[in-house]
Amino acid sequence: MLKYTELVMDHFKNPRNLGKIEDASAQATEGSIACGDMMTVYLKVEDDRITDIKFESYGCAANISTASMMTEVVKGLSLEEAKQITWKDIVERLGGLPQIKYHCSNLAVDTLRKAIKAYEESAARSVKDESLS
Amino acid sequence: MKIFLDNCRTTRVLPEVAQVVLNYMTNNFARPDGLYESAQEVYDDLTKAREFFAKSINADSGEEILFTSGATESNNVAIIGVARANRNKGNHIIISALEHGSVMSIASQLKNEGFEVTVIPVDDEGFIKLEDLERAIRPSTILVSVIAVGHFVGSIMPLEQIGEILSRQSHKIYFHTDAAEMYAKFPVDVKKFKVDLMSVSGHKFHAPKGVGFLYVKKGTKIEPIMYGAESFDKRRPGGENVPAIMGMKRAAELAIENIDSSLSNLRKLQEYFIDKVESQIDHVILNGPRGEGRTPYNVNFSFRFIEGEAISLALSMEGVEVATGSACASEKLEPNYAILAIGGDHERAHGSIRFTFDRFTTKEQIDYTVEKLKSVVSWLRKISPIKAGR
Repeated sequence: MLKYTELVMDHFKNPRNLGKIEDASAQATEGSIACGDMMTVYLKVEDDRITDIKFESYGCAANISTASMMTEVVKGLSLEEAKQITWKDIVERLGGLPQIKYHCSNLAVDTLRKAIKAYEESAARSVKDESLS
Repeated sequence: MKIFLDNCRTTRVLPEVAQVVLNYMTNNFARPDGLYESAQEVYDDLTKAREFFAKSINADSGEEILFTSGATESNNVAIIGVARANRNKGNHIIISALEHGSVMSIASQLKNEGFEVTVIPVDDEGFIKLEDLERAIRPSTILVSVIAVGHFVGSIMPLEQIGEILSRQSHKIYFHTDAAEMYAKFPVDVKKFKVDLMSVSGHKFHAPKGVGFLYVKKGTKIEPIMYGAESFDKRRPGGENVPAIMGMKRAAELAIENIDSSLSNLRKLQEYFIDKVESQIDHVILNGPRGEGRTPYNVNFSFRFIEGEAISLALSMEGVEVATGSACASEKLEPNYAILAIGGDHERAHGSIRFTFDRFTTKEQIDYTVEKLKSVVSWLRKISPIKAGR
């Protein structure tokens, strides 16, 4: 069994911001069942700021805890600030992860970025729609 | 409450066994090769231990027992030793797809040395097909190694029929079995199985870690893989781990005394556990066979839509210790090969949990395990983005 920090175990046992946002501004899913890691991130965005974020995870303790920590870190940030968050920031905030688990920690940030991109694309589309009407 | 259900990885040393070990550490501590009374006593005890182990597998003589550090060393000595010693006869070796990791590694090393290795597949329950074995045999085949009991999915291999096929061949093919999950749990008869070599590990039946033996049938052409000063047994240099060997003897005596009652108790417990999980948890797959073809010491389930490392970690927080076949829990980040070998996909491997019992496992422990399993599985499914029907 791999050794996790107490903080990782705490986020695994009591994940923050777990679940779905029904009226999410955007959502994204990354990973695959075949790889053993999959995550969905839901964003609520107001005035280019993340006002709410939730996640669902199929994956190991590293996956769940990095997702949980990521949501804590980015909640309240502007989209531009959130885009600057790296997997390294999250892992450091958790007090480290076994090296072999680094790839799991990437997924949380990758899914976040994909959700932000999805939001920006849909926002751009609606701006375009408005200018057409 | 702590419930250890990873007894296929290792077992606790019984107090009666630890007493024997302690005695050979602190009192009868001599090496068997001294020319004085205490050494002679140890020599006699080791000789009797060899005879005991020989008798316990229906071998002809104590000289056919070689003490080792466990099944990994036994597998190395057996497979590499026979392969190298018989290279002039052929360079082909056959193993099964469910071999222990040590046998897989040895086979890959022998490939580097120019041997050819055929891995015969297993069916969806984890049994090798005898016709596949017969097809794989070539004039250059010198050795077949098949695990006695699959350590992940619990299938009991048809050793007797394999031995029969090999003995019918027109040239000698050595037959080795890794019996780490069979010895001291099932009656073992090397004559009935027609095996030439058999690996055993002590810590699988309540002896200390780091001790085991290899049965080497008299007349087997085998080279040593370690060299050094001769001690008790010239085939393996270095001082014997006398305390552990004597402890393993006591552990084997206790296990064999109770072999029938353990088997029948565990069979009932296993059926009870499987029924309970299948009736109370949705979307579970039993990995490996049902009934008599499966060791009663093993149950392996895949829980769909969730991942095994998270399941095992969450169970461990509730005091239940188990193994998983998830890639996330493996050092190489690869899904469990045994689940893939029986036709499972990656999801099934990632969601697999192995529960392995010892003869002291109780119904109360099983009840507690199922209760915790239900809550852990339901919690992880709640947070998973993958849902049934999607």
